[in-house]
Amino acid sequence: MLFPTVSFALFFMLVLGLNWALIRRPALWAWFLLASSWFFYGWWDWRFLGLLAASTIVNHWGGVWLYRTRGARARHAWITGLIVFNLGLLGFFKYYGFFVQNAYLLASRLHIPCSLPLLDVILPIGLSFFTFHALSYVIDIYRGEMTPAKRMVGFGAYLAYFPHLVAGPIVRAGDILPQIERPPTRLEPIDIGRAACLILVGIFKKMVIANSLSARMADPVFAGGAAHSAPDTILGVYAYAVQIYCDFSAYSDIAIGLALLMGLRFPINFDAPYFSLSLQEFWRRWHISLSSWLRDYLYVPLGGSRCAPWKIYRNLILTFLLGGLWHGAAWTFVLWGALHGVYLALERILQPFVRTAAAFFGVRSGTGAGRRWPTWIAHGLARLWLFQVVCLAWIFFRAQTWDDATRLLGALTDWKGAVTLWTGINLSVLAIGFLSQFLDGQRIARVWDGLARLPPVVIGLIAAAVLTVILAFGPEGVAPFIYFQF
Amino acid sequence: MAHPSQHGMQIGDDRAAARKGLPLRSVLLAVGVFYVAAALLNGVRIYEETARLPYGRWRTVWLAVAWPLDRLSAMTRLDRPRAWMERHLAQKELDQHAK
Repeated sequence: MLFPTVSFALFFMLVLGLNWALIRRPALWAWFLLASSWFFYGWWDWRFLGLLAASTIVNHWGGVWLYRTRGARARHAWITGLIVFNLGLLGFFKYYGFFVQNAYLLASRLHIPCSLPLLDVILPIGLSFFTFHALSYVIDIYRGEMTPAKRMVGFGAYLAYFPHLVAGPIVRAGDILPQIERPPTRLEPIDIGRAACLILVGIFKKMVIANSLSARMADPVFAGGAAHSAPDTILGVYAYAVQIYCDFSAYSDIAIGLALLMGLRFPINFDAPYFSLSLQEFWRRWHISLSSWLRDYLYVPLGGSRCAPWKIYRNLILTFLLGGLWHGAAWTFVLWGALHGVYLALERILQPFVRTAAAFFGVRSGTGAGRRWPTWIAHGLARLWLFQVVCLAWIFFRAQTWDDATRLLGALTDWKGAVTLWTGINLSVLAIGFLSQFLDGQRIARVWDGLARLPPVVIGLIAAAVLTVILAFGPEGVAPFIYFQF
Repeated sequence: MAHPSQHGMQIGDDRAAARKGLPLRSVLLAVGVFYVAAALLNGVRIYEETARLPYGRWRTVWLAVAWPLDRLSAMTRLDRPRAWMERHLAQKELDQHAK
């Protein structure tokens, strides 16, 4: 069930009504959340409900026994077992084929026999996300940062909650479990202005912008067909950068909006990432839930930034290598992650020189030994540069194979070929998608509050009218969200 | 430019603490009006898209659900705004839906 479809609309209409009918009975409400979420997941493929159930049972009871265990060695053994279980699930379903393929490749190069079974393993949708949810839960219990869920149904509802189940945000148990165990009352106001805006903006970003960018520019350039000139290739890459932002942030926005209507609060997942001045800042604005997860459960345990410089760089590169691998079982994803990790390390190394240069040109304080540059010029150049760096990495992220990526890089040298994609409508769609970042965070809080001041009937009519306009401009059918494949 | 969120929950938590929003009844009324209006404005197109599903039991079920929307939408002529936008602004080729 994709979000912007009639079947989901009917499902949500039913779920919303029952949600508020049952919320006065928290125990029954939690079961309802679990049942509706499992129904949602089972709609995709009922065969994987067993996997979700197994993850729920093992992680809940593992967490309980971990919490009750006192000895350091025993606790360490418990958490190791739980991590191995969760990563084992992820590793088998997501990486078995990748592992076997590369083992065969290596074996053939070394002329040694390899007899690993070739299995056609289907990747269950949402596995990467709910595995990370489960890991954060058990690790937080191990660290003493939270207590286990009072009841397994509450944990199960947190793990499977349908708005975030298949493509995030990766919500922390500490943020959501208290809301499930002490649900909102029917007397508490519902932030409908924010919810409506998030859902409608999300549908617009996905159905109109992301789908248009994909069909008009990104897919033709990244497809392995006719060669494109450098200007067209650049535009195709830019289009993909904005497409993946619109696609993924749309899903997050809709998930947050739906949860708000049901009385639950999710964290934001994007905050105008392409306005960042540095890659470090980019990762505080892009897929915030993933980057903070990697920081708290991988980067910091490796030593984080509180160690020798060479270890910091190693930690950054390793974290992003694994972050890249999380996205998919392919070397192109690993390379994408490695590029980010290496650039982050370079940023740290060059930071003192950048500060010196900025001070010399009087960028920050307006004073200095050298010429004075307005801050907005320096920031503009920094944002432009950062966008190029991120786009270069997106080439590897989007390319299906290494050959596709190198073909695209090669195309960047062809400045004599025909330029066919730089049309008014393409540039307009790209610009609108890029500028939709202004809707992130709480930049349009006044719009949310203004909408909420209108009579409810008017709110409903406006929302229906806006949706109709979006559907009129959107394509036929709904393409899956990009992050479903992760 | 606004500083990036230190903790993603801040916005939701702050707005909840400030009691932003409407009471439940008003929200459910707004959502109900939204569903009815959206169904009337898009009923014809919903039926057309449902008719394109592969033949089978589910198509029969969904068509049965979509048919009243199609009839109401056409009778009230509320399908016309979307058709106009698609034809003149979005420049889509519309199916000739046989009634």
